[in-house]
Amino acid sequence: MTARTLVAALCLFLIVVCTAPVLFVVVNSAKTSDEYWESKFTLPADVRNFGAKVTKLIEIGTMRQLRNSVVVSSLGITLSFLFTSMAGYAFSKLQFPGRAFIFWSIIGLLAMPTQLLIVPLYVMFSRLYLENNLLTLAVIYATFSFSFGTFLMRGFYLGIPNEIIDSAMIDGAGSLRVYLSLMVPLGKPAIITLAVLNFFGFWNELFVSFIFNHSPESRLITPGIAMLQTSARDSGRLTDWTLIYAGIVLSLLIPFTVYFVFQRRLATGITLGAVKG
Amino acid sequence: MSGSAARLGSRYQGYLYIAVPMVLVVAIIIVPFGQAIYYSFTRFSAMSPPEWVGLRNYSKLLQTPLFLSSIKNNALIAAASPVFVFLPLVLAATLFRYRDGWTTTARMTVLLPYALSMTVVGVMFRSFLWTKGPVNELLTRVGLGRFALDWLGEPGLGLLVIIAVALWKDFGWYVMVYIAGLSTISRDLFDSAKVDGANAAQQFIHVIVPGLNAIIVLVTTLVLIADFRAMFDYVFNLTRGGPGYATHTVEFLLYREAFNFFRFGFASSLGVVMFVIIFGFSYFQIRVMSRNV
Repeated sequence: MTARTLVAALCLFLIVVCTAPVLFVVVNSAKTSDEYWESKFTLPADVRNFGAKVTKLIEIGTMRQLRNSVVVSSLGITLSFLFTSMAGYAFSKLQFPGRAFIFWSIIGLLAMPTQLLIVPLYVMFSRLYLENNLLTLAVIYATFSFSFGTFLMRGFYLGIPNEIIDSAMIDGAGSLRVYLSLMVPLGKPAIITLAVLNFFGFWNELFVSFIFNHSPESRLITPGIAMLQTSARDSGRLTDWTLIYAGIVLSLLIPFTVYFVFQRRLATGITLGAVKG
Repeated sequence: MSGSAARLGSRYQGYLYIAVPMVLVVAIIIVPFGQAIYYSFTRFSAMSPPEWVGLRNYSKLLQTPLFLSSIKNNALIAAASPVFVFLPLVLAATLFRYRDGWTTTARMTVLLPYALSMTVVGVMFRSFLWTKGPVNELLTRVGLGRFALDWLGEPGLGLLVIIAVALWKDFGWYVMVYIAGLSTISRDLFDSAKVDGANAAQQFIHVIVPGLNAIIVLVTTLVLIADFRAMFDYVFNLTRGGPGYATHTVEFLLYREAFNFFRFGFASSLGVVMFVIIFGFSYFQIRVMSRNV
């Protein structure tokens, strides 16, 4: 056997390992519970059974949870874009006293475990009646991701030559003008990369959203999926895994779209995030 | 290194660009950090305000077998770190060395688990691995029924399952990190190694490992940090800390203490212990990151 054949076999193995669990979930989400218990490794008899499950999931609140996740993710990504593009600009192109100290203090916050902050944050926000609030959660997410985002944006902006900025200044542009007409458009690759990384970070987050947004109206999709096991058990003697699978399929539609559209960006993000830092 | 456009605006304009997030960082990270440390020296619950008890939470911590077994579980997960660091490295080197339709497809596929949340992954694998799940059904069908175990219910197995599931989700990400690093190693190095007659294994040891040294260190720290602070989602969705307390980790214990029993003071002391452990690794991570700036 040649090396190439071995490598092909390894690749096939990796592809099966990564996709089979997801395919199993997708296929079985279209079965009835009885069908699933009869055989887990056949194709569904009638794909329309998926529709019946969607109806049930709407009752449980999955659609509202999806909407909430869309709202929190978009708000968080927008805030993070504003915060980190401005901060990255300031830390790379503007001079001000304490610049290096403030920058490295922000980077030092990468060491802060969320779990340490969660008790005081919960105590504080519940006193201010800011729990179960989508905007609160978006602000928390954008703040937690500020360190990494600033690091990434500053690193990218350091690569933009100062001459471009100088010539804009000769034309009479102020710092805000430079930010809006140069830094934002030139920073687009890093901005999009950060947005994609943030999307997965925010959409998939469990710990904070589970604790902060616990009312049925404000719950997000990831905690919603975690709690599906309870809802699916209530509906019968045995857990209806097909219902849970259908919920998972719905929860994956947006992340998979983002994944396939921005796959290139994700790879770039890994380069930026890991190789450069 | 950054010959900044110094004359851009007045000396203090830079502050305007960081003012809003800095206020939020102080309010949402720095103040709560101080509070958490303060709470860790108090008796504090949902019913009663913080009351100073000195080091009592910490001495209680050391006398709580559940804390010791939880931290031991984190350490056992961390003991598997070499697999998380080196398996992706070998895979990346292989995928990087051979370029054809197979390796291109594999590269595109290994990142797929990254798109899934740890929660979705946890729930999925719980459904696969419980006693009447598809894994056991498959094993029985092919005549390996005696290997059809209670994967999530055996005290010794739960932790291994958590490690395996975490590996399934994360390995592709690390593969891509290494591949990104491999493309920065000069082709000349590979070529001259080939000229010298180095085989794949020798190239791996003499070109790839030294060339990726910084990235290997970075991945190691990222894995260790995750081992001590990112296991909650898996524990919560796969085993709920069970059977019994067999798969409790420190962050899961913290969650239970704070939000099931409302012992905020004691939970905060757990958070401080986590911070101390993670801080060491993170300090290392930041040093590696800053070397590349």
